Amino acid sequence: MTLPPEILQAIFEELDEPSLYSSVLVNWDWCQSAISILWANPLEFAYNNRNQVYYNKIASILSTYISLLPNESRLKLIEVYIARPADFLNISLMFNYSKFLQKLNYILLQDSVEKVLDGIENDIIKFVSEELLKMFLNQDSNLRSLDFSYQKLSGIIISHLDKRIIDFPLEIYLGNLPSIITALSRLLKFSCTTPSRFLSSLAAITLELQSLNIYDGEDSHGIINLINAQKNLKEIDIHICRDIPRIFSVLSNKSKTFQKFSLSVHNAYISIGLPLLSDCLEILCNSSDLEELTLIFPRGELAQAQCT
Amino acid sequence: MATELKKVKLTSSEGTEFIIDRKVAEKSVLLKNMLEDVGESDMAIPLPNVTGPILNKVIDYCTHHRDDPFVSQEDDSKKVSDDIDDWDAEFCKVDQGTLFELILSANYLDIKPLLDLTCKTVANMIKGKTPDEIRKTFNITNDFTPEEEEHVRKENEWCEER
Repeated sequence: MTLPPEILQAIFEELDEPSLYSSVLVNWDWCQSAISILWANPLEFAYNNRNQVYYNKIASILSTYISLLPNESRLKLIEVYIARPADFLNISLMFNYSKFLQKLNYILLQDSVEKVLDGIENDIIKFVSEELLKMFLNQDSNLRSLDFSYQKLSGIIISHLDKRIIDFPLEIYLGNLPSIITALSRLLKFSCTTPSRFLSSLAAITLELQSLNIYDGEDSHGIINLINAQKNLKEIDIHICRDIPRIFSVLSNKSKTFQKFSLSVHNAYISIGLPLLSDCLEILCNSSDLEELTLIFPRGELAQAQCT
Repeated sequence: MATELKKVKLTSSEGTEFIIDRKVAEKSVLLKNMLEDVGESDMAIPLPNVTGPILNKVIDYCTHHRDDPFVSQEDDSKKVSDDIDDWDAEFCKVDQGTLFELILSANYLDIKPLLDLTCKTVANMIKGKTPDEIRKTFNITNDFTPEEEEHVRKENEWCEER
């Protein structure tokens, strides 16, 4: 008896990578169902390896991705980086692995480009990373989670990183590539660390976010716009330092669907006084599905509660 | 008017009739929606895709779990195949044909916890095995050409455990 592809996929969702690897080699049916799960977030798997073999894994994944880039981007890369052109030149692959990507952490992507194409200049790293991102943000992309932060990465991954500064790429494309807009509109999860003019642009495109993490409160206008545009926010983790009453007001408008709520108030720019605990709790008076609540205040005052 | 006491009639593919509590039947989202649409009725609901012995097993499962809270579709508690409790593990000790039929029935009747349990059970049968051992376990023929197999191996060897 054979199982239909959607059932095979549900089974493969339960497997770790080595077992998935065995599964793709079983036969064509199994391969076609398992391969998309294997490539859903490969870089994070590769980086999450205590052992030095992690580098080979990254190199292999990145070469695959680079060889899937459009010809003109690859040729430009080969022009400036002639040391090992064969790696990315004439590979014909069994699958278009780039379209299986579901979760991308841009810090890992940039770091892997820098590691694998070692010795190249910064602007080439930026160019290749951006070309790859463009490829991932494609019309038929399955990318649902886009992360520009290192806050949720494991200690092992962070210990492998050479580069933690993000060259924030996206503002340059927004508005001129329809396929990117389509892909961004499907995002369910977005995280970022650095302040960016990107938040307000994203607010015009991405309306279905279920999870939002913003670790820098500088662009309060962008934060307000982005939260305000969402229809179904379930998990929110934001750090804020200005415009607190306006942010609170937009949060309480959207609080009905909240399941996890984490708010951290920074010390730096507060001139209007800290919000009271009761103000924070008032945001959540409509959140009937709330499961987790974390509030972090300056001066070490911490309120943490779990309700069911 | 407790729904607890109401009964529902089901007929399996070979025409065997089963009478069960409505609360047990409602573990199946398919049946729950049907019962809500139809309202009060003594008519048996035909299940042409489910055989008697399999329906019997499914009813066993739903009866044992009748008081469990409802699990939402979106709950993606991934990769926790070790958390199968004793009753469920015992329930899944069946031959492979039965296990696969249980999966297909859980999918058809839309009983998410039973689908999860049976899929996890199959996943546990895959874990730690080589491709060849998997083929033997599930009686699968390798239809790759040697070249294709080599390509797939090479393009994915990064996830091999080393």
